[in-house]
Amino acid sequence: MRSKFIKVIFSAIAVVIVILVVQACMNYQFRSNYTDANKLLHGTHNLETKPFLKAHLKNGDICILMDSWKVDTVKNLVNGKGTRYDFNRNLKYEGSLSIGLDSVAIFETNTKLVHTEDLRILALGLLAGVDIVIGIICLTTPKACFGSCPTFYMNEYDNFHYADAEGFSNAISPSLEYADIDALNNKPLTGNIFSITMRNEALETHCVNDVKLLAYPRKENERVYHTRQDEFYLCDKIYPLSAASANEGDITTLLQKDDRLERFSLADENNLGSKEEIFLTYDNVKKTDDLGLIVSFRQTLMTTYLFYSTMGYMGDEVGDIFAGIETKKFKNETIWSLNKELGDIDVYTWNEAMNAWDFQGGWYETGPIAVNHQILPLKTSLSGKTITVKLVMNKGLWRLDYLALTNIKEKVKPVEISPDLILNKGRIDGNALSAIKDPEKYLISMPGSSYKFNFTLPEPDRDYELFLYSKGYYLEWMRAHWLKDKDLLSLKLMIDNPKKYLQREASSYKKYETEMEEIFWNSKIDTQLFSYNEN
Amino acid sequence: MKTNLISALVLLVIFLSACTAPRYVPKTQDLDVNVYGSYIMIKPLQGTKVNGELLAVDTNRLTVLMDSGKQKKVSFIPLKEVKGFTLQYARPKSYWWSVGTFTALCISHGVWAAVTIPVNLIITAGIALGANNDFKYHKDDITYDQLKIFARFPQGIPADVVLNTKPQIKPRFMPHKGPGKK
Repeated sequence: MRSKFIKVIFSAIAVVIVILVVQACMNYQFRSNYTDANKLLHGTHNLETKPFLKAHLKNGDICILMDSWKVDTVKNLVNGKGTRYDFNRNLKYEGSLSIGLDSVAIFETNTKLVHTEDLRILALGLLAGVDIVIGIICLTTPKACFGSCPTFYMNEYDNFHYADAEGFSNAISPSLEYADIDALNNKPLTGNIFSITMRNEALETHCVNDVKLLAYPRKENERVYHTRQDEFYLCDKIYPLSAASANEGDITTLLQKDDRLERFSLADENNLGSKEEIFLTYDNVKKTDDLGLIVSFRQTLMTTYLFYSTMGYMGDEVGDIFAGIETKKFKNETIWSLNKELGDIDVYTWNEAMNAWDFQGGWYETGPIAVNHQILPLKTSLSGKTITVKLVMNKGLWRLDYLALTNIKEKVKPVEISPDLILNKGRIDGNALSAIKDPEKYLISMPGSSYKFNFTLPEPDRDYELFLYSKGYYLEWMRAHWLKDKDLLSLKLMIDNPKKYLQREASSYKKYETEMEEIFWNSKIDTQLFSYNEN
Repeated sequence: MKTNLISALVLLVIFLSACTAPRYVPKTQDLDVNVYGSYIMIKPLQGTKVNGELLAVDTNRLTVLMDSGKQKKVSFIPLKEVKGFTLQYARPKSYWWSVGTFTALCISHGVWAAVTIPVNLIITAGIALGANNDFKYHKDDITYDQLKIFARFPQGIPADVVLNTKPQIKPRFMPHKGPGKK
């Protein structure tokens, strides 16, 4: 239903464009000239409304006769009420006119131009309709229109589709503050100044305690990856994916390259907690005793939806509940019970000898915007040239872009670099810098804020693998219309029995998912960089 | 990139919104009582453009009461010297207001404004630009014989009217209100 609605919106825009093209090609035939009275009489006798008559006189004067004019063919006169102007168009006479036909050079009539603007008004009306509908959707479903957490951009002019990192997505309250590390997956660097821009693109207050750069030098063909536990590994050999399959079939091309061609599935219509499996095969793996599985991934909009639902359920008690979180009235396990139920991307490797799957670990990172790049060192010593991996994960929760094996050279420790300059809308902001440098202070970033952090790398003309360290928390702004969604029983069910809640909420989310995923992907700037794949 | 696109569109909008017709060009509803010739912009094969009120179209030349310069004067352009022209016979409605209004409407679109603002800018600028080009004829659309009927003197310059030495034609910037318009 909603999917149809989105199609209607895009159709309306298409209609507007067609209208513009049609309108651009329109010509109007409205003026007629007659060299004598006979032609004038023949040309106008069928008209329902008698037009005004312009008589261009041989001496350059012009007479404009209102629609009561008559041609007297006996006296060779045109009679009527009107106005006469000289050749300079100064008014000469106004009233009853009697013009000799022999003094007239040309008669002119004009048809009224009507409805010339109808198509344009229709087009603007349609466009206004589309804008208002999108506005209403955004106001009633803000999760579709507003991001969350601080977003970081290496290119300050990029939009949220190209965000390079999202900071502390789970820190929704002061007591939940934590430090987050995101790989920037940067290209080879030149020069020793590195900038990154932090934006607040949501209806939230961001309290940023620290932003640092973690850098480790790398040589050609070397990469540094970090784990979920924030350990860093220097790696040097990449084994690309040979084959991959999921429920929908072969997905190898989607996962073979770090190209933002992502594989994702839609949620189970009966249970948001349903799992799915993906099988990966890597051939010709030469060195198997120090392997790591690298991944580029992010979430779909499912967790954003669930978070906003949680806020809605709290209704006007949101303040009390968050106060409870701050005073440790609620245990951490309680707060994150739903996330636990949704689960990680669990990784298994096939053990030929044992004829069983070995569990290796998993990944989890909240946020649908920035792509995460992480590694999972494979614990067991794998034998054979072909490695088979199984991923088990929540259906409809994850977008996977890239999965490859690599050889780990060593565990490393990157150097920490604090910013030496912060620009606020192009101007140096000393207060922001001191807030970031002082562990007791916070840089408060409000919706629309944008801060550019400048870092000086240790050595110029040396390439580094860069990671962004951000620490802080954010406060979601309560929307007035959420108050009507207050439902403490649902909130209790979500916390106490997340499994049952995810089953119950599936149908509501499916409506949202179809609409929002489509909007999200239809809004992409570069169609080469994103994919839409459902099963 | 996106900012550059939006800036370019905004500049285009400002630039184009400045291209308005002279005040003597009538509104569509006043076409039948207008006593002046249409506004014509002539691009000659050589020399500068000539803008002004089309006075007459003769067999071998166009006569234009020029708008430019403090001293209004009559210009004669031989037909063989005309590379192109644009004739505007009615004042188009301005839709430039819609560019700002619709862009402002997109503020409520959140992150989707990144998409909806350029879309709105393109469509509204397209509408405004299309309207700006309304009621115009170009050289390829119309013959010189057809062009005559848009001149102040479709019959040609009256014999008694002197134009060559001290032109008797005085320019006007505001058309008279015609009959029925008082």
